Parts: sequence; structure tokens; C-alpha cells
Amino acid sequence: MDDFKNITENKFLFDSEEPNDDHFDKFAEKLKKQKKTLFSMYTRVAAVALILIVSSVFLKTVVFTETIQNETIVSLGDVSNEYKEVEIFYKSDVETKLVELETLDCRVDDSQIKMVFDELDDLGDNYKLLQKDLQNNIGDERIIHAMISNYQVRVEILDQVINRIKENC
Amino acid sequence: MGNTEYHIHKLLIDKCRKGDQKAQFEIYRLYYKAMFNTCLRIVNDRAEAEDLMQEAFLGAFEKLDSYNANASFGAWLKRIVVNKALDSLKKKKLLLDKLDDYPHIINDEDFDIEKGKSKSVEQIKKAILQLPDGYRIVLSLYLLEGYDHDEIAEILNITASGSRSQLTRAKKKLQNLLEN
Repeated sequence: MDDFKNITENKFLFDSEEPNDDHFDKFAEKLKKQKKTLFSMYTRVAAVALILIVSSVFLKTVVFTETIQNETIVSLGDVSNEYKEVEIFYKSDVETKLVELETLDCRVDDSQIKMVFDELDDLGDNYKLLQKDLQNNIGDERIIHAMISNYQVRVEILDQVINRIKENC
Repeated sequence: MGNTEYHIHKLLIDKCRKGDQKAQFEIYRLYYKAMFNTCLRIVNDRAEAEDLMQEAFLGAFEKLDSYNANASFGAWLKRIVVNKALDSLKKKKLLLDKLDDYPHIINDEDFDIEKGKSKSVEQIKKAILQLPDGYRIVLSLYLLEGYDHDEIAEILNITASGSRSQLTRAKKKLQNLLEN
């Protein structure tokens, strides 16, 4: 090697170092892993896309049903979970009492029964009006209490009728 | 021969583009040695050079679409390896005291190795690896990887004159190392 020019002219001689003996195996491993990470990258992209689609559908459904509810009915249960329980309690109470009334093994004045059902129908109509009010004034306590007392009145009426019929049985 | 080589590699490269692992391995087999030596001369650490060189191959396969068939594949690949190796050095903050701190230009020809005649390749290789990072890198890129000063300036983000003066200093230092 006479001078630096010779280094350049013989540069192929300088490329004589070898990596570790296992470098081919290592590289083969890395190639395989690369495939995998590439695949999992696609999987990740697909997963994200799926989540986006699902959530957008979900959102749409939620928004859609919300608008439906806004257009039609807001019930007590829509105000809070507490009121939902109250509503379920009174509804089932009214229903049990209706069943009790209809299955009473007594002779009943039809006109009396009719009066009761008229009364309940009126209360039902009144309840629907309250629902509309609640829709326009969501969370208004006065309306909520009116709805609860509407249920209470129904229960009371049914109680009274049932007791009277039982007395005269 | 060059032609045949070009054609074989073109087929291989096309296969690599499609993610053919056998073809990618074949390209590795053809080029690993040159790339390993290039990398080793920059980072001066065998294990690291091997890792970086392999990563550079994987990176190259990923961005094969950006390879322009007008350039030689080897040169394209080497540039990726060089950049990878330099990035690694920079991360370790070992790299290059500001090369532009040497604005004075010394004539390259002043320092041809005259006294160092008949040094063996092994001796020179050892001496090159003893050079400080900045010297070693510029000298390797210029003498062994075949880059000119403009290219080195671009690669190292310095000026061409900075590259020239750094090379001159590197040569002088190498000369000293070889004499002792």
C-alpha cells in the first residue's frame, strides 16, 4: 500500500470483515418478524376501521333513537335511574291491582267498574300531557312530581275500589 | 457481466418489492458483506454494525418503492446503511465535533503516505478504526465508500470545504498511526 490512492484502488480488500457466524439466521428471523409486524399493522388498521364503523353506527343509533324519543315520549325513567325505579314500582303496582280487581271472585256493579276505568283512562290521558310537558321542560321537578302523584292516584283509586268490592262481597 | 448482474438483481428487486422473503434473503446474501464493512467503519463496533446493517436492509425493503432503477442498487442501499450508522452515532452523541471548526484548507496531496510504504491492508484497517469518529467517518466515506466531498457534505450536513479539511486531518492522523 503505497499511498492513499492505493487504498481507494484496493478498497475491495478492506471489505474483508464478516459479521457473527449466526447473522444469516438472525436476519432470517428478522425477515419473518417483519412480515408479522407488517401483518399486525394491517390488522391494527383493520381493527381501528372496524371500531370507527361500529362506533359511528352506534352513535347514529343513539342519536336516532334519541330524536325518536324527543318526538314522542319522555318517561320518568329517562330523567334519572332513581325515577326509573319509581316508575317501575308504580307501574307494576297498578298492574297487580288491575289484575286483582279483574280476578275478584265477587259480584261487581259494572257501572262502578266502568267509572273506575274511565277515571284511570283520564289519568292516563293526563299522564301523556305531563310527558309532553316534561319533553319541553326536561328535569322540571313539578312535572315529575305530578307524574308520580298521577301514579299514586291510580293506585289509590284501585285500592279503594278493591276494598269496597271486597267489603260488599 | 454488469448487464447480467443488473438483470438478475432487477428480478430479485421486483420480487422483494412484492415481499418475497426468499428474494429479500438473497439480496441480503449478495450485499451483506460490503454493507457490514461500511457500517463497521462508521460505528466501530461489530455487534452494533451487524444490527444496524440488518435493520438497514429491512428498512430498504420497506421503502423499495422509492428506489429509482437509474441508480445502482448497491449505491442506493449503501446510502441507507451509511445514514443508519450515522444516525446511531448521533444518538450516542459521539459524533463529530463541529467539523466546520476547521475552515482552513490544506492541500490533500501534502499527506500521501510515503513513509508508510508496504503497510498491509490489515494494518491500515486497524489504524482506520483507531481514528476518532469524525476523522474515521470522513476518511472512510471518501476513500472507501467512494463519496466525493459534496456528497459527504450532504450526508454529514457540513460544508464541502469542512469535509476536505477533515479528510486532510484524518489522513495526517492515519499516517501518524501507521508510522508508530
